[in-house]
Amino acid sequence: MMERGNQEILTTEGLVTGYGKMEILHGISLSVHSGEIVALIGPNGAGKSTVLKAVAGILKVNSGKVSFKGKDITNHPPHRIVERGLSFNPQGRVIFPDMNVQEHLDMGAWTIKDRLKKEEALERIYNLFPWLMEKKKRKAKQMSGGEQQMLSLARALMIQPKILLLDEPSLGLSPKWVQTVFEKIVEIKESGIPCLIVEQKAALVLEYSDYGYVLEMGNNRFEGSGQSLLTNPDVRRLYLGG
Amino acid sequence: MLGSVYALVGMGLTLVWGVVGIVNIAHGEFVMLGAYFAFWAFSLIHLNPLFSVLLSIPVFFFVGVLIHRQITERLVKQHELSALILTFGMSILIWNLAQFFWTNTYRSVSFLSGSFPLLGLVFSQSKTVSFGLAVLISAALLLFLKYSSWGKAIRATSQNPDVALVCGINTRKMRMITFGMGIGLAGTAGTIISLQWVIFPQMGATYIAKAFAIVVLGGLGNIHGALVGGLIIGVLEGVVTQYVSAKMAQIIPSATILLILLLRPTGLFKK
Repeated sequence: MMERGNQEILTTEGLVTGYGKMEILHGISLSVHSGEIVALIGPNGAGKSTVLKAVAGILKVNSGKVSFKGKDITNHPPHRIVERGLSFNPQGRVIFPDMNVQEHLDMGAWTIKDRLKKEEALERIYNLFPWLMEKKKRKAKQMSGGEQQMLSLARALMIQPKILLLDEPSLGLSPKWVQTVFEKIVEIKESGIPCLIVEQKAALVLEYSDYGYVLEMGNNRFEGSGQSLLTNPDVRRLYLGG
Repeated sequence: MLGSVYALVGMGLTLVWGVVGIVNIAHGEFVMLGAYFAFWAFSLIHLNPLFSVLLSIPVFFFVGVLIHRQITERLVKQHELSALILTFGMSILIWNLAQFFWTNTYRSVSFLSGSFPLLGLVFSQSKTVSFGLAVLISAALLLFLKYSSWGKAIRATSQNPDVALVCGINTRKMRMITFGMGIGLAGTAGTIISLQWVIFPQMGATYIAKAFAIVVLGGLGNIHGALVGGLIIGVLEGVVTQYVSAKMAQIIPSATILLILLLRPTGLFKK
């Protein structure tokens, strides 16, 4: 096993959860260390998105444990988890259609009560996404899919999270926007925020990842560095299409 | 001018519908309770009805919060029919209780019954005061939703609850507050209505019908639409009462719903 970052930020141990009586995850263990982009890949129905929802407190965990910065956060309410510095960007159109850019960022900063810190966060985000500054008053529904995805990234970064969870950031985007989004994610990682990314485009996300997990039917199947998974013949054959 | 009060009722209904996802059939009953609130406060302790209006805002807000916590919260994200059936039952229960305790006697609050001339027209004092109050409350509501951080969080919860949740917004709490605001608007509208109209246990039915017409007219969940919709219904009623008959004016809500659903199901204003 390859050497990983020095500090564990997020870990799950034997995570079991599901919807109602249907169990989706049968015991998932993974970890994200400081300074890493970690990919979570696998076929449809493997439970990738379910892992993120369980970690973010949106889905009740039946057994197992989620630890964040060394503290147990299993089944904490979602807003408490956000307050601790975990930001989650769910799948799909992660926007408020009738709200403008400025309002999105305000909502992203909901858990920051200090006015001065809010101002600082805004300034930091407008530095990271300069083009958003000019579109402050633009409503989200008037933006392109790529712009919306970037806006939701910006929104998720307002709290200066200790980790960022992304569910299919490339969904529905043109190849050009996919690249822009992933380059931004690398920039985010380099600014010191590790990311856990669920992606359908497995080969793409592994290119950018330091580490990866392959799930199958709610179980861990493979894990390793991004490069080692890309070259692993089993992973290639089963999930990367040859 | 009664349209501005209808708008209050309609805005409450549409707000709860849009944010909490519950169609509150019992909404009109809280208008009735608001009217009785002003009546009893006036006849028992001689409370100035204008003060009742002010007082009814926190009182009914609190009632709404309580009802949501105890009863309607379990309807969130359930089938729409459950909410319809439960609130329908609640409606029947409330007006029957009102009938039982307060009898079917028509009541009214005799206050500000005079009138005053302005620019060659004669204005009724109570109607003018009602209009002023309703406009004031509507404006306060719109400003709250547009500019305050709680207002923004309520809009966020309405537009995309999943994303609001991951922003760290306690969406359960937002729904509770919104339900409180909806009932608060209904109750307050009731106290304002008591200034000029008769009060009786079944009066809620009239107002829920108008409120539905307003919501359909303005577009579901659209607060601005409800405001304009309320004014339109009010003006239509006034015109028809004046030039046709008061009886004909009563078909306006149902006729509006029918026409809008046939011609423009999304409401007059695109959201």
